[in-house]
Amino acid sequence: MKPVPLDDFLKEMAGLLDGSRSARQVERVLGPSASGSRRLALYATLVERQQHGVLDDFYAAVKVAAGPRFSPLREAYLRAYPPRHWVPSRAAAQFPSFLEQRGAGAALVELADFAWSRHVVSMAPNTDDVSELIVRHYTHAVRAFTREVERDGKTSGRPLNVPETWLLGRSRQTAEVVIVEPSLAALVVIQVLQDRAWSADLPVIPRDDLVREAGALASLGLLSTGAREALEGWLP
Amino acid sequence: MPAVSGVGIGLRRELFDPLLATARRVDWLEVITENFAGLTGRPAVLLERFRARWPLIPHGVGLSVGSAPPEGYLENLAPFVRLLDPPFFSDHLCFSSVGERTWFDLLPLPRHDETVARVVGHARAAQQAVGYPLVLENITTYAEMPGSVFDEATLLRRVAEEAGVGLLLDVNNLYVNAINHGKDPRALLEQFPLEHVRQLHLAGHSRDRELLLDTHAAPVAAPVWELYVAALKRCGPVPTLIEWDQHIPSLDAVLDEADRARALMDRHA
Repeated sequence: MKPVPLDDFLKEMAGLLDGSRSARQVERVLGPSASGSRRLALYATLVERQQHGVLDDFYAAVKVAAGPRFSPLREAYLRAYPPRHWVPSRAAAQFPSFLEQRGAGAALVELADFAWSRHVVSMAPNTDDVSELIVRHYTHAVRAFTREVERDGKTSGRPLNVPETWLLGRSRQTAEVVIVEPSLAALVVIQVLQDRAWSADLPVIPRDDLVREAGALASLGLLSTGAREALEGWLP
Repeated sequence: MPAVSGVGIGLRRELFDPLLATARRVDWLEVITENFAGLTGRPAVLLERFRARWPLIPHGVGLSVGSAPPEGYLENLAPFVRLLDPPFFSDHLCFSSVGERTWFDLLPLPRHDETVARVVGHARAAQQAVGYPLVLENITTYAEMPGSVFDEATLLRRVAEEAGVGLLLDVNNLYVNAINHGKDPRALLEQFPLEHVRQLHLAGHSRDRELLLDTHAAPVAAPVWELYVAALKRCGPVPTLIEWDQHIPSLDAVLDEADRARALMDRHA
């Protein structure tokens, strides 16, 4: 029997792996697998496990907080956004916005956003500016909950309904992701550095306080010497 | 180009800090290409620290030589390989994506002439684009793909000879395939085109009902160590990698496996 063209094989297998064709349907087109339909069908399960693994690793805290709701959300997400890039983390990129669109609730959306923001900061280009610094405002205590999940694999409850603001960046010294609760002065410093200008709309804070705050951010590795010098030029 | 010999381990996130702190012997590190995409961010910073201490060998999971490399893949791979300046870069004889759809898995191909031609074409193009020799690994298979007309050893040999690529013999994969398909592991090893082997892989597997799964989640199994000794006797002291990708234990536990492989290499190769 002449083998089916390779492109037809790949097309049929893609259907099997995506769950749109059964192993028996694939075999009707490609011919029988010598090891049987059940073994062939196993590949759909294996790739599903792989894709689940990417999301489970990335959004471990969401999974814990969502409980039994996580599995159907994950299924729906992978149907809506099947992985289309060879870098696995790209498959997780739209999950926070997907949860928001699905009305999954602020706690889950914020936990997902926190996880993705950490990743974005971790992978940001190695530049000397402050473009990779991210400020996030949440209505739930996402950091404490995430920490608990990562340390213990579980938590005692849901994320507390407590508003918090986090500054995420990468240390220039250690390359580690640094997460701190920023002061108002720190937020102003970052705003000025990211806008590369002072704005009259910003809160009035003494210049010395802003310079001191920039020093504190630099000691965490979040600001370079050049950024601190530039800041002083932009302050009124 | 750094010389690569002895036994390496996989550079995995869980081992970053312990590796930088260890005084134990590590001959080289395998780095997964996809984990350093774009050479940016924290991974790129850390890569420099590891590169300063050990030879790094790039190993990919997304080349998909059996279908076609995904868009942008080779453009990302080439500067990464050039940076590491290894003796070769490696990936798997399989497909992992079709068009823009990808599955993050190593999927078997039907073994026939058209597959050989397709893989040879993509392998040559990859070597050309990257500028370094390519080495392809035997994968685990849990099912025979419909349309196959010859065995795996023939596919590997023809690809190696027609594309001019080296082979990476994953001893655990060979063992898992033998058991899952009811064959004799020693016979499969004898059939393997050993003259083309440039690297050996060792890893643990798991049992899932009647099948062995290549999970990289356990120590190397006793029969795989025996097969490794047989491979060393045939191939000589080929650089060997200990792979551990799930349920990763302490660095010391991984390095104990590496020490064991090195002792066997010293005694038998």
